[in-house]
Amino acid sequence: MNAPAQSPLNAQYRRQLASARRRLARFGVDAEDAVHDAWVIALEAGAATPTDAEASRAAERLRGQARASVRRDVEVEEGAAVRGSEGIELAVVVRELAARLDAAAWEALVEAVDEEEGVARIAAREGVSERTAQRRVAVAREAARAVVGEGEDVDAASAIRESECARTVATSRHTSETKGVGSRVMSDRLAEELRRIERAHPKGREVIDAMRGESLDPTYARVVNGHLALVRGETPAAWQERFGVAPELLVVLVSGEVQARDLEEADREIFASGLRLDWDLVIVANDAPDLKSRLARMPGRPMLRVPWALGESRWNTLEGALRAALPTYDVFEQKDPVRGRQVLGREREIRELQTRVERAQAVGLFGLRKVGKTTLVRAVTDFIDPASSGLDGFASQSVSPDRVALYVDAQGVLTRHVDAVADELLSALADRMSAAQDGFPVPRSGGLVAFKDAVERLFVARRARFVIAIDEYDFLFEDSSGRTAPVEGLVDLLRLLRAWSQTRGAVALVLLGRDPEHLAASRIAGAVNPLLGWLTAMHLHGLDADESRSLLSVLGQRAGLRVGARSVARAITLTGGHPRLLRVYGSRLFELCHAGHGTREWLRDADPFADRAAEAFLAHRDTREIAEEVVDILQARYPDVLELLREIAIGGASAADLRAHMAEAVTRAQEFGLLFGADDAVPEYLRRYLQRYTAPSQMRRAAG
Amino acid sequence: MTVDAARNPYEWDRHDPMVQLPRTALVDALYGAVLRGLGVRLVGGRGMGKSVTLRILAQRLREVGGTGVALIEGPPLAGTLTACLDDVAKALGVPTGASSNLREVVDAATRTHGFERVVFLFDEVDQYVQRRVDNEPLGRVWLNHVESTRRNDPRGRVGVVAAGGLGLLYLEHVIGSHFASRAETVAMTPLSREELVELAAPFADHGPPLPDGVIDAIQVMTAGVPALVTFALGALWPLSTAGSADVLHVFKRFRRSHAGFIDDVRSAVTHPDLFDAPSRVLSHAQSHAGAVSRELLLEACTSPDSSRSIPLDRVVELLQAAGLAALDGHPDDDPVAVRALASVLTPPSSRARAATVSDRFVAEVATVLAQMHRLAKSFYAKGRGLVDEEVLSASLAIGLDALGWDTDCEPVQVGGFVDVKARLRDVPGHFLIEAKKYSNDDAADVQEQVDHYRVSDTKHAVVVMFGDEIPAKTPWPDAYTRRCLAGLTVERMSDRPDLVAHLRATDARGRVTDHLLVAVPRR
Repeated sequence: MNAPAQSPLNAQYRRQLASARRRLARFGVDAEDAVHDAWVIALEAGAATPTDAEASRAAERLRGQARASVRRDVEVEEGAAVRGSEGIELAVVVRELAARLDAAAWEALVEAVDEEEGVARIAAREGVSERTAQRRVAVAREAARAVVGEGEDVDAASAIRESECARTVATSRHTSETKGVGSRVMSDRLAEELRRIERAHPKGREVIDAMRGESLDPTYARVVNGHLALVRGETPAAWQERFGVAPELLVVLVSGEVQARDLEEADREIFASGLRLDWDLVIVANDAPDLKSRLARMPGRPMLRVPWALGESRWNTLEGALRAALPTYDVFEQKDPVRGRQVLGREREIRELQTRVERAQAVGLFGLRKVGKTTLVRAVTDFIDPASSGLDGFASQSVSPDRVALYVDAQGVLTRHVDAVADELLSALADRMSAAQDGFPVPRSGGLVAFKDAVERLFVARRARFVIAIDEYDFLFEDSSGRTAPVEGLVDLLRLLRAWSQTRGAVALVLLGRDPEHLAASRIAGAVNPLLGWLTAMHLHGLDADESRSLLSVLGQRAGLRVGARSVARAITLTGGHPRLLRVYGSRLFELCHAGHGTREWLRDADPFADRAAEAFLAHRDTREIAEEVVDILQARYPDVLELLREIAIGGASAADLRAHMAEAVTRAQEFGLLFGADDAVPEYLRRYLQRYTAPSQMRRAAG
Repeated sequence: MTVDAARNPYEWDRHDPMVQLPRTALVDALYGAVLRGLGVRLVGGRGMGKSVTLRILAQRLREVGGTGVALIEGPPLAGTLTACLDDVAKALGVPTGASSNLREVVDAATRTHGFERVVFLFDEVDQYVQRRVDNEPLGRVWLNHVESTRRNDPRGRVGVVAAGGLGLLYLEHVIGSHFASRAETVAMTPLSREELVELAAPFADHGPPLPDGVIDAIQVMTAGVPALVTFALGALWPLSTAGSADVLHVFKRFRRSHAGFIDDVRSAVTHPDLFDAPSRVLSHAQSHAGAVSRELLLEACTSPDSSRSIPLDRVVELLQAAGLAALDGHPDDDPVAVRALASVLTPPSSRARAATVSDRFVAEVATVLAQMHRLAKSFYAKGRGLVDEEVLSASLAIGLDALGWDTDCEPVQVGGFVDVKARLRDVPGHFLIEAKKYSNDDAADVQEQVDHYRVSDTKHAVVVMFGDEIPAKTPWPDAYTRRCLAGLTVERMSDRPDLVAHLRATDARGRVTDHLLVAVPRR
């Protein structure tokens, strides 16, 4: 899709979008039909960014079509009977829809214009039952409503988000380059770009033909320069199933030697895709010798660069290249928070958090370090506002100008004054506006006054609604000795956020930290705590059994492992579902399965290695470090929980036995995920650590 | 490695020495991590080569296109966060005072210089920890800010290495640092004997290569700590030939002129303002012969009020990275196979109380030997067995030197000289030590040899017999008495800890010689 930033109508579109949305919200489901018609007609009028004259003509045709379909719903007629400029507005809305829906949902939406016929067509094309096709149509409609439903329709929108459709929306990372109308629009441009690649790159035709030959149909292409081109292709379903890769793959075609800047460009493409591509996988097609080792030496964030060597005498298939490369990369290993398709599990939490922020609530997201708090909140902010990631290069169709997410990390605040916190927020806001290619001026400093001013200007100019996420919030309340010492003036910021939330319904706050201790206090630095009665606590602990299984099997698939029931069960006992530790265990399986074996055989069975992997896991540095951190925190802040866990891990007591006189500690341990499962077991990693490193002498000897 | 033969290439206290080992594995590990946008803590004690390693890394990174490198040698004098930001901005070649946070500095650097990524290399992190800003440890606030910048850069453009010792442990486990918590760990390692030989290669261009005995003596007295090794090589460079006795002199001199360095090494593992768990663990490692009960070590890692404990594996890691200890198994084992490394950094410390100076001499020789027994593995060169007698003598002499004796050591090839001659200030006369390996053919003549060295002002003589191959069937003291003390009156003294036997031999002229039998097993 064209980047509106280059369109002279861009600013106009932005203004029109807001009013179009309000109007559409009144129409309900049937409004989508009108939207679709408006879009198609506008495009048929000859331009992706139609002029007023073109739009007027389009609107005339729209009226005609709408009248023809008046039998369906009088509201369609009402919605369709719009002036030319409104036709454009609707077209913009549809663009946004296209950007936000995944391929299947969009296809369904398009075909749902003629509902019965659409269902039949979907069923026939996809080889599914009409009931399934109907379901897809419903999902698409719901998804559409989730996008457009605003203003008066907030409650409906929230309800939708709690439905399964919201999950579909939230968990698929949508792009503007999808199927349906979007791809129809793109097809000419794509064809032209592919022709340019064939002309500009000696191996261009060969690569594109090979991709098509292996059913990796190009969906997007871009000539970066005479040396580099990027081609995205729709991953064949069989590959997705076999290799656990994303629905699209990125092929980086390089003439001459691959340079680090080529991979940087690929990286930009990955993020600009809205993380629809695997964020840690790129295929590099190149005919220079020694491609594999050259790629291995290249700098860049951890990712698998699959060498697709074109220069060898025997043609290498892409499937062969994937088959050879995937088992060489430990996809489990990931110390920092993950994004995009690496977010596995947590669907319920994501849905809950998303719902709450849509309702402009304040949410406290609590849990021990590395349990996935940041991953969770970024999944939500990435979806609501892709530009909040701080990356530039987003096509602004994929960014709603009025949905603004700000993520700041309180540990980055340099001085203990609210103005420093506000400056961090301003900086995040300025980065976000820049990433969204929105020229709205935001200063990077100026403290709380400047932050208030910027946000309030955006309320007016963009009708903006904000999600403000503050990670490691404990840093705002504690000094280095762990004593309560709120940042000076912090309460003023919290008051302001609450006021915005309550009077405008336009600000949601998410605070991420270890526990709600500071947030539940009646006063902060002598003033009434503005968070009281506003903030809802969400405690994040381990993944449940299904999610743990899913994480291990999906990642295992990518790495050429069949992670079966035995390994999964062992992993859950060991980790209690702690996502980072599940990955550590997965890494051990990966090492053991692939140690000393060639890569000819795809999908090695991991279960025979489950016990050896468990031993390696328990002895692994990362496991010990996480156990150390847990014990450090418990020692410093929750000695009663530590005592409880020791009683269970070393003394052989059960949580049920201890609940009578340690009820609070039991509850806290459950909230932290340190007691898990029906029998409130202590995860084995922690039990082992407690036995070996923290037990008093007698207990340790007994445990010995 | 070729150097200008006229110029001494070894400069132990420079961060950019003329002769340096590439430390490829270490630098590779750091290089790979920072280019992937990770944080790394580089753990090492004083003199372990952290600063040199950071410089090698910086040089290598600068050769990668599009990489901005900010090598920060320590906290700014002003000790403020603004000064920290300014230092970084200056190192990256962007205006100072223009940015309110590190992200802006990174952005400015990428804009100005077209960098694709930026790597921060922070040296002397322990000093950051000890400074305070707004009543907070500078190290915590600053490194958290750095970590926030690294972690929140979505493309992983920011890599960080923070190099330090005890401060890193303190950051992570006492005051809490998210940098330390998420960072990868790369630990410095002492130089192996092979690396030492490689570092000494320029001697071959300059004159005769250093003999094995000298290499062994350097290894034994330095435990492979790079700064000490370089100091020794620099001091030996001007000599036309060098022997292990020269190594003894080098380190006697070092101890007197660079006492501050040794104090710094210790402060890297214990500090009154931080904590002393590593020092307590080291103390246990020194007083046990290579295996310490985990119980004891865990207690050493726990604060006296039991409110906090530091993970044992981290403590051991720090001691290893300071060249003070080695771990032969896994920290989960019980007992834990942690052992102190013999070197000038781990001298015996307890002085003996005795009625006479001669008794004190014998007692303190026994003290040094007891430590050599406990740290026996340090005296084995890989694949070559127990080091030569001259190296053992030199080690004995440097140990006595630490206890206040002025020692002198002669190379074995110089005929007619005893192995160690010791004096005590303000005490007339001298004391002799003849050291032998029991497996040597001339061990049987040891009494005769020591008697040969006695002169009129010899106050007392001691024979030290190192038992590398102790007879299995007959008790060693009995076998020794039959083989070496025939014809003498032999009294078995009460055995001293960690010695196999203390025998006192008196000849027909009433001359007394103490024979100390010590096992130096490979374990």
